Amino acid sequence: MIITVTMGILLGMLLLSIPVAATLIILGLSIGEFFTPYPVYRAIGEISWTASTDFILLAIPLFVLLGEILLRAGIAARTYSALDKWLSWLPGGLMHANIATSAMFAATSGSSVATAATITTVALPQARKYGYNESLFAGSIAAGGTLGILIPPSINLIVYGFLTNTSIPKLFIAGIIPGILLAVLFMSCILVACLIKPELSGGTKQTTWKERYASLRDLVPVLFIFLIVIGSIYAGWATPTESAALGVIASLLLAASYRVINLKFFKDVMEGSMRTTAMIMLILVAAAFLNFILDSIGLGETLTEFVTTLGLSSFHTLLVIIAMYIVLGFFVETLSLMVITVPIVAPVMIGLGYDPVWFGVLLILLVEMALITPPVGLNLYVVQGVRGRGSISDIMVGSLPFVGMIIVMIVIIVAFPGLVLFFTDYIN
Amino acid sequence: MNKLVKHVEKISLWAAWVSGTIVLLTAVMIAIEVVLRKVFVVSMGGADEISTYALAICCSWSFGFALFRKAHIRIDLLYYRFPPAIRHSLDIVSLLFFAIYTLLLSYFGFIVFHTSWIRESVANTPLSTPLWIPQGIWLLGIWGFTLSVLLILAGTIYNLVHKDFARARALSGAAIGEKNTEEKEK
Repeated sequence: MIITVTMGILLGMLLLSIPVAATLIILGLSIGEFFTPYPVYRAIGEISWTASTDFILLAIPLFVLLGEILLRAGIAARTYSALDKWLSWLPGGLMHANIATSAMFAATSGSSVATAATITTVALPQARKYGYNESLFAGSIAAGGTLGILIPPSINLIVYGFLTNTSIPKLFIAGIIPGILLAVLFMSCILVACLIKPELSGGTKQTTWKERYASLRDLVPVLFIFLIVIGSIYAGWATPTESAALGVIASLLLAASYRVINLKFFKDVMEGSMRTTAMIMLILVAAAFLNFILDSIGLGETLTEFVTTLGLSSFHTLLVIIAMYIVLGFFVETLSLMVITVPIVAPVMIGLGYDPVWFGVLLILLVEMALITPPVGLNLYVVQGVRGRGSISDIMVGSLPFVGMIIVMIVIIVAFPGLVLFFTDYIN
Repeated sequence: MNKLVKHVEKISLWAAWVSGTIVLLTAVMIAIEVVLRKVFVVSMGGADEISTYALAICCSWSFGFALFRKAHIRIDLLYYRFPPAIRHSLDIVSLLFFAIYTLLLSYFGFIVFHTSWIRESVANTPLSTPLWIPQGIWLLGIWGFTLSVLLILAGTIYNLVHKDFARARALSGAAIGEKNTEEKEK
């Protein structure tokens, strides 16, 4: 009963375009009103304060800021042109650079949207010049952008860790192998598609080895940031939040060395990062309140009991959960999808014996899929927004092969959980 | 009315700049702390505590800015299939829900601040920060957010009453996919 009403109100309000944060709060208030005799709404002040002073969550504005600084310093554009020189001889040409740049950029910042937007801006004019199939090309950018939430550092993994009390360093390291594998899968998919249908790819330009070697120095900044952020965590020097702060300082030094820092640069960086931060944090603070209410009515136990009475094996439950996320992913925006479902679903899955870190990575893969499946797929809209012409359905079609690759990846980690957990045992 | 909204938007932009600067300074402080701890094996003490207050403050100060920039996510799957009249009503309902939230938070946030003030509560840390200070600054941000919500609501209704639909849409319409529908409408 509670579950039906909750899901009904939730989906109804979201589909009517009520802002996600407001939906979560109104949902919490109405559940509190109808299902408990206590005035639980009174806790909203205390809970909001506690949630907004969580040291783990401080990593979010810091990583957003880091990404903004790198983007506005033009580092994504330089990385792209360097990777283009190395990869564009392959069948599929520039599309490999799209994926590789996204993957490298994913390794420095946690946001997929900003990366996708930047790469579209840089890459699309070239795709037109060399006559690429724009549908697959745009699809590869949208899909590449999703790597940002799997390859560490990742804001979504931080959110998962925050919601489930899972170690963030473990989650980060668990994302590396699946992240690289997925990038390879994306690139193989482009390669095979362009071997079968060469007209999907565009004309190639000649690059000399000299140019290639010269371009290597443009890859240094990204590697430098990656080493600082990820290195400081695993050397045991810094917590994820602290490593983000180190990354911000390092990226500022880089920006200074490119001589792009001026007042306008700062204003743009501040506006961009506070806009994103405020959006994410308002949802998280609202979710903290909703979760408190859900806890107080014991929804978690109700659900666990319900799942037990179904008498499914743990593997079948996993399949049901995966199916549920795929369906919800069509309609619900990804951050909201995570904050709404994780506190309910994760305990059930962990109770069935699944590893919390492994489930986190699986969940991120499902969320990546949600980012590029219509009708609600943020990355599709971002790429289309920058593209500014044609229909969004081109991008939806172009993303389909990559959705297939994510499904392959999900099958791989379900079959071989060791791929995800390979490094995590070494961390403590 | 529209002038007033513009003024408040300007203030919210300033608040966002200040918040961003706070985040940046926090990063500098944490970085110094990590280096001191690693290299000189000393600690300033309290850097992590202060930075969590900075987080709360910069967020509450930026909520209003994000609202003006339409950053708070709305799912526009059906939104653009509705006729304009329904869209405007949904915009108003959205703002009303936000208003319920922010008014409630303004009140109970004030209770949190007030309790710390009367009881002279201090944080359970070496710094023993009097909690009313960070909570007070945080609360100001929440009030600012509430004010922004109410103003945008008032502005939208005002423009609708004066049949200035473009302005109303600019103020409170959903953001993502705007370009996309414009194209379809052509």
